[in-house]
Amino acid sequence: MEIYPPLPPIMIHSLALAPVTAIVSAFAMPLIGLTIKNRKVWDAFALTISTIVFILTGIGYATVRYLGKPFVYLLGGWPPPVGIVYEVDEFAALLGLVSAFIIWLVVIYGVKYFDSNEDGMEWYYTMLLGLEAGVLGCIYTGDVFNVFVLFEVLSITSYGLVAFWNRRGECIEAAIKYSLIGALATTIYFLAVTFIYASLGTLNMADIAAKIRGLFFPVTGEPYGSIALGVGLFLALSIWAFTVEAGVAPNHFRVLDAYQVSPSTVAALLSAVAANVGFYLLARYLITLLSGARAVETIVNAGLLIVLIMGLVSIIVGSFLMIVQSDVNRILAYSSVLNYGYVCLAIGLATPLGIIAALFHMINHAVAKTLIFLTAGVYVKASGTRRLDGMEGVGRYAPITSALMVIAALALAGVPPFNGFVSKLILYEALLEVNLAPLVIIIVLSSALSLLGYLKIIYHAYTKPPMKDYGKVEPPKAMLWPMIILAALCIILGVASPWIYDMFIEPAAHTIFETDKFIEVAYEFAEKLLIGVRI
Amino acid sequence: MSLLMVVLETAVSMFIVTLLAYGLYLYSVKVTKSFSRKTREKVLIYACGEDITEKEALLADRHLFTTIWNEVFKPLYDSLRGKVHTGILNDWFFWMFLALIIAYTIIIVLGGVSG
Repeated sequence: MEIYPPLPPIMIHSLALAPVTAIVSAFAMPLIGLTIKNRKVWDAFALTISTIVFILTGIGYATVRYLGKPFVYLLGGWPPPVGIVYEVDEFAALLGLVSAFIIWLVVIYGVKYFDSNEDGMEWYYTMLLGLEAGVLGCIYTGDVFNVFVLFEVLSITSYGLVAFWNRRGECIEAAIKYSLIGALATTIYFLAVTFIYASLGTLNMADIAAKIRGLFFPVTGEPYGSIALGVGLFLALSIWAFTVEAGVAPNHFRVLDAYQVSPSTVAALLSAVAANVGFYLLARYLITLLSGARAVETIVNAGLLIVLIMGLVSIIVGSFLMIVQSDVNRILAYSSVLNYGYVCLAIGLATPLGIIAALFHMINHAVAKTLIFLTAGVYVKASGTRRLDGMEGVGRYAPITSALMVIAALALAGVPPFNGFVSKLILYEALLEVNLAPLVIIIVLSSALSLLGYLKIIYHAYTKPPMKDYGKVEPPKAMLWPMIILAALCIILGVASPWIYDMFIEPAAHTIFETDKFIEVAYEFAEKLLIGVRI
Repeated sequence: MSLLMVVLETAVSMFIVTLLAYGLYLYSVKVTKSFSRKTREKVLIYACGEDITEKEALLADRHLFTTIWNEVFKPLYDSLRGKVHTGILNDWFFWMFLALIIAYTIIIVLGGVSG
């Protein structure tokens, strides 16, 4: 019996093609840059590729929804647990689609954001497409070692992007700090993988989930010794590495400098897209792979407690330090730390409503934070400074951009009827469900504080009289449209939330708990391998 | 979905309240504008007769947002900014590894990990 019904080739291959297209194009970009010295060609190439990848992730999402179970793609035709596979459920497919969409908008915005004589644009696009491959690969893969490889791809490209303005000392310093800590995180994750491999003898996620539950999985045999020690070490090290990638306190230091000094497009991508990979992996490992297994129940509960505490610390640090900053990008960096705290807290609850809140807030934060970074980019470009006291009144010269920034700020602060409000409300509900009402108060207070931070930007950039004649500040349409789309999404995701919740968020969040299906699909492929060996 | 219908109802009501509050604010600005104009005399009196500009005599308005807050939570800010967010990589690593050690300890103690 066939595992999946017959599908058109584009549906079968779309999920694998998305990261492959991005990484192949990333490698092709420098060659194009060498042969064709025309910025417009580079822009067109990056734009075309990001559009294709976005469409592929959309088709991939449709495929997974159509099948109603995780889609397993065999790379090189090798079935699990021997070969590397992509195993994509609705949660991963939706997150991949959102990531590709954000990247696509950022690419469009970047075409006019960077000056026509900006140096190194071919390298910018190389890194950006590489980052897209890393993000999608990390989200789609069903192999813990493959996560390490794609984690490296994601990390290395993000180091390059942070150092893009490499003639500025502050960018170099931020990039070095970012890369040193990032390299440490990937190394720590590699150590985590060695522990799980030594303990269970497999790297396949479905196989790991099966073995921890004492289920038989073909080819890789029985676990070695006590699995508690291996899983405990794996979990502690993984949580640490993923919270570094996500930027959750106290592992948040590197993101502050990086978001502050890098171009607005890069800050938007790192804050809205790259960080979500860390949260996705936390949810995937803690819940799909490990939750519900009696052998490691207490360990997983301890892991969830760590995530919850880190989320809480992140909320406190982010909200308190956000309001005393005087650099627009640094305010937004602390705002990211604050919002990462909400997501972490929601994942730490590990309840269905908690995961719904986490997924919805990851999407809402990605949309609103990209918008606010892009609008801030317009102000910074026009005023020539990131300091609030240097950009007084600049917003008056760009009323549309300022209106969009206000929408983003209100959405991030959780003001109704914008999207941030809905996900925060679901988070309150999730906390009340498990009798953690005091945490609701902390979240409400932190939201109020964050509103002060956003108001500071609006107050300086718009309410205060202009310091000078800034000239033409309103950006060209190529920059404006991506921002308008994001602002429209901030409203739609809020106003149409009941429909979006029922149609997309709830079904996607539910799949993270469907470990049985996750194991079953991979098992069916593995069984074929076993039959092949027997023959 | 009952929760989200509550969300929508709350959203609409809070939106209306926000509009009302904003209207009230605009009205108060209009009313107070006539008598809150800063004349040179007022500034000179405030600055004890020193010949300084109006801008120099006024407190930077950004401080109005945060000064009280900063003073109340000064010890917290001293630790968060002075000891933790120093910008020095060694300090960062200290706090990050402390988090790792705490994570290990929680997993070993609460998780009951044993060889």
